[in-house]
Amino acid sequence: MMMTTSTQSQLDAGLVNAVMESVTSVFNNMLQVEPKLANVSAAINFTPSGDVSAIIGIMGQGGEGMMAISLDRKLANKLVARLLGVRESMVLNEDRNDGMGEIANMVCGKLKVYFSEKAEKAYKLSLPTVISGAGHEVSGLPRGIPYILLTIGVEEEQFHIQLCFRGQ
Amino acid sequence: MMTKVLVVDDSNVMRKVIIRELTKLGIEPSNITEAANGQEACDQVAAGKFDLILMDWNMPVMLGIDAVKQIRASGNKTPICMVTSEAEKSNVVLAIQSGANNYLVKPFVAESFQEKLAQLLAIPH
Repeated sequence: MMMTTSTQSQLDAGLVNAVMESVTSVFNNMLQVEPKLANVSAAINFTPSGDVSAIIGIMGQGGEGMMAISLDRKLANKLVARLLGVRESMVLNEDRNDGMGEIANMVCGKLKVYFSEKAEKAYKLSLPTVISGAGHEVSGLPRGIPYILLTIGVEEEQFHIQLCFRGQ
Repeated sequence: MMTKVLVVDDSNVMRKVIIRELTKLGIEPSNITEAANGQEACDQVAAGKFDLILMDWNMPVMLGIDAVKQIRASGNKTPICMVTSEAEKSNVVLAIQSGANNYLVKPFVAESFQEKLAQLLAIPH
């Protein structure tokens, strides 16, 4: 699903497409699964969903922002199991968090190229922060600025990517 | 196979992924050493001899690029391949100028990664 309609373009179609290209590259190459964009919407603040959130900050001369992948523990286990090439039952809690941080890092790494090329400015990524637990909350993230919320399907399940970016 | 490889990545999961691919090439797990940041990598390089170093970029304590500079400043000439999600051309140039011999961007396809490793280690693949 590519962003094309006028309503969707208000959510920055270029950015949404860049996120999906990044997600698709990571999921195809490292996890051997095909992610499909199910929905795109806007939000004012970051709202974690599911049991696990992997968060990465993006900062540089052109602005700053963050990207978070939020998903249920079951799907996180499935994705990390695919990354490791093991059965889901063999994924340790520490591996699940570490693996989701690495997946978020790879997605954001590709996304950083998009930001750098678009602004012709250099950006850096923070190390991933992974927070887990049902109903977990995240503090200290940018508030009051627009977030893009992508719902992405993968093998009958869904996860969310939330992204905000404030240019300078 | 007696080839010795140092795998440097702050992600335990990514080290496991890389080690999995190395063992598929016939490298004994006992000949693979792990480091979780650039400083640990420098310490390992000072303490032992390796045929190849696979180096992540973004890590706590010491960045991979700073570890490459420190390793080269010590006179060590072990081949270093960056394995990183840092994909900008400017980073590739910086890594090569700092002494890295090769550069591989994550995400990668396992088969391509194995081919690259085989090439770096001169192993038939």
